[in-house]
Amino acid sequence: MASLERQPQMNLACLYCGLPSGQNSYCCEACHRLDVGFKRLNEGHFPKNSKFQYLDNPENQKLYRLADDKNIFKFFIENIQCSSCVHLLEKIPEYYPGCQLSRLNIGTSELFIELSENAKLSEIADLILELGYEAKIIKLTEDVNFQIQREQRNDLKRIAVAGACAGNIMIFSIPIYTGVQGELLILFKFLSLLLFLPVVFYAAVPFYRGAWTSLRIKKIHIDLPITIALIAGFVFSVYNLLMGSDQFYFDSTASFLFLILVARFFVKKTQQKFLSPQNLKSEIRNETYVLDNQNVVLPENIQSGDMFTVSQDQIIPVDGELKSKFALIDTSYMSGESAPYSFTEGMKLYAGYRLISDSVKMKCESRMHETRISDLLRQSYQNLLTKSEYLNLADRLAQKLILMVFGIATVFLVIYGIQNNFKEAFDRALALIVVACPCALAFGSPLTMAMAYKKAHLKGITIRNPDVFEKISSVENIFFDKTGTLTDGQLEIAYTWPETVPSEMKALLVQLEKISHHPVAFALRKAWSKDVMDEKTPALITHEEIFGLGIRAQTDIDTYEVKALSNQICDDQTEMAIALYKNNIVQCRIYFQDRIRPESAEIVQYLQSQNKNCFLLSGDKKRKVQNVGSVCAIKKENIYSSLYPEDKEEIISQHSHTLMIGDGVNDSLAMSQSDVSIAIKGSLEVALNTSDVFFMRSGLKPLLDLFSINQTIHSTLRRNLALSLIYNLLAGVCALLGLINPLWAAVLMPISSFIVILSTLWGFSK
Amino acid sequence: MNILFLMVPMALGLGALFIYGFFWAVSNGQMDDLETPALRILNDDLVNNKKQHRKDLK
Repeated sequence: MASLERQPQMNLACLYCGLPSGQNSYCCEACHRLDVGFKRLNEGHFPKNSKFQYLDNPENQKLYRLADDKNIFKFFIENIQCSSCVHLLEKIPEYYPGCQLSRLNIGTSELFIELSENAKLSEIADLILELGYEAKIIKLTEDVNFQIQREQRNDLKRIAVAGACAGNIMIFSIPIYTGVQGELLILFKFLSLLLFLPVVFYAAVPFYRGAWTSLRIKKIHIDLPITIALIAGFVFSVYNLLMGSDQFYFDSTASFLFLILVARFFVKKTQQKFLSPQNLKSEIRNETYVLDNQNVVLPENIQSGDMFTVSQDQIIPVDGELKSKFALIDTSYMSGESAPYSFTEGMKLYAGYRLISDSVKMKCESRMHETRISDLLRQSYQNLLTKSEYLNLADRLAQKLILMVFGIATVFLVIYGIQNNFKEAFDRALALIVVACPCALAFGSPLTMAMAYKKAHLKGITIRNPDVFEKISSVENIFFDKTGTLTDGQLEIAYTWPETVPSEMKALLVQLEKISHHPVAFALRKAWSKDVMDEKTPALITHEEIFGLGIRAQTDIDTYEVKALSNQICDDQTEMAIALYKNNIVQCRIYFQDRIRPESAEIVQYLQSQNKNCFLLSGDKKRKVQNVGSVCAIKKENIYSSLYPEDKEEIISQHSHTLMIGDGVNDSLAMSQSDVSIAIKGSLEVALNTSDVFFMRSGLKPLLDLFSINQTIHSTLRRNLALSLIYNLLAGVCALLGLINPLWAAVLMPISSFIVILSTLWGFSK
Repeated sequence: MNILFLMVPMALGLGALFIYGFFWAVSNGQMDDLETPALRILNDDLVNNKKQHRKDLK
């Protein structure tokens, strides 16, 4: 019966907080700990060899302290689930007296910690780990949130002022429209003016800045027409006020400005939420390395000549010489080759390689900023900076619209002024400029973009560069990386000889490979571990890995060996092969491949059917690259192999309207050169930093989602534009015919704005 | 209608007061995080709850 109760049931509720918890009793570790009552392990003692000890080094600490005089640090916490996480993490001062304050922001997953003088930062990190969270301490240089926070506060204040003033102006305008006379009319007129002043001189300041910048760099930005409409409305109304006329645009202009400010704030917030680097933080590792004198350092602090240890699975941080006997290295991030390489003592290791075997010692020859990888990086970032500024659709249209409106206004002023009178011509021309403000462009487009980011986020796509959607529709040439992009980037069993391996032999192989860190061993364990759970294996007397050759083991009667077969044996599909020998007789052979993702071919074919050229760029050997290319039906002349990072960049720079998808250091230069760059899940930090788009979902499927979201954006934008053009045309003609008075402006402008908002929301509701 | 000369300044004064209050709240960081406080209030056994509320980070 006991076993029956343990059967997994879906949809359980958390015993502590009641949220759905899937198959578990609790939704998260915090609920579990709070429910059973949390007690510090080991009577509150901290582990001696904490992996966070480097945090106590004052040099390292300097990189993290948020303010020079205060002991405040910021952690990024993964897996924040529910209110219990807030509860537990903010209890830290109870568990650790050295911590004075602990505050969690659940929106950004950031934990602020304030420490007293003698408290140790490493112990806090250990405590958070003990509480069951993965914590990453945030470097000051990576912290952009402070700036964002200040901006957001200012925006809120501006919205409050604009809203309050617009509302009050409307109230005081009603008597004017209903025909109040005498002293009261003068009172309400001047009150409207008074209330409009904070809007012009405080709330609208960001628009002036935008307009000024757009004038300075001689590119028309959407802020320019907004500023002109605002100033024109203000000047025109003040002039009329002083001349004793009742034609004011205070109410319509103020409420219009308020609406734009709110829309912009909303757009900015969604952008920050979904564009923010926080989304990437969990993909970035805080690597530390142990020097020979036992100091733990960050990669930036490794000096030339230092001896240090690189542990298994770490990225080699600097160029240097291998001092251990042997190392197995994955060079795929640098070269694109999927098969690992063996290195022996004295050979040169380059930064960006990944260590597969057990930890090794190496001697640093050039500091991090002098390495080949950082040259590549510098060049990549340089490319990013010089990437041409892309004029987005809204701005391009604003440019046309504003020229048109001003052109018509001027022509009208001259013709009507000569034929009739100048006063009336001036009134009508100004009414045109005020009424024809491009509201669809002013907040229809930003709102559309914000909705697009949100939708992309739900589909597991992080947009890092707002221009992506503008550029992606003109993309013609799409470049794929091979290893890790079109393929899985991991070895798996392709086929065996004999065709079925008896399960006792599988068990033996799994047992033999247990001590190995070679990718082959991972592939074997992954494939067979479940099959051989109940198999008995012989007792081994000796069992060792001979680096670069294979594994040897002995029972009391037999000798077993696993050896790598020479590459000649492998065909186009397979990367490498091993054989199991029993007393020097071959028992079985196993071939491994780097599997092509199942969706790769389908996606390439879809893109080609959309008249896009697909290319394959790889640093791997010709034979393998061509095989992958032919499986995915990429044209022969579009397949390039044995490329260095610089070659990839060269090829991309020869094409226009390019998109590059990759995952490694060897792609980063090419990615920075292409118009749109996409890093797929599992990419190296470098690739993430140079990419415009990052897929949080593994595989290539998000690429199709990206294209479909792009289509939604463009149809929505087009509809918004059509609506606003119709409105502008009608309102403009009415203004020139002298039919528009301030009351009509106050009614029409918000209506057109709401139509645009509704149209946008409708576009994304499907 | 003379009452308007009293009502209007009062209305404006009240509006100004609320804007001032809002500015104060924003500068105090009350609008920075709108999600966590809603959850924080559910926990009634935080020993230093009051201390934390008074002593905000910024």
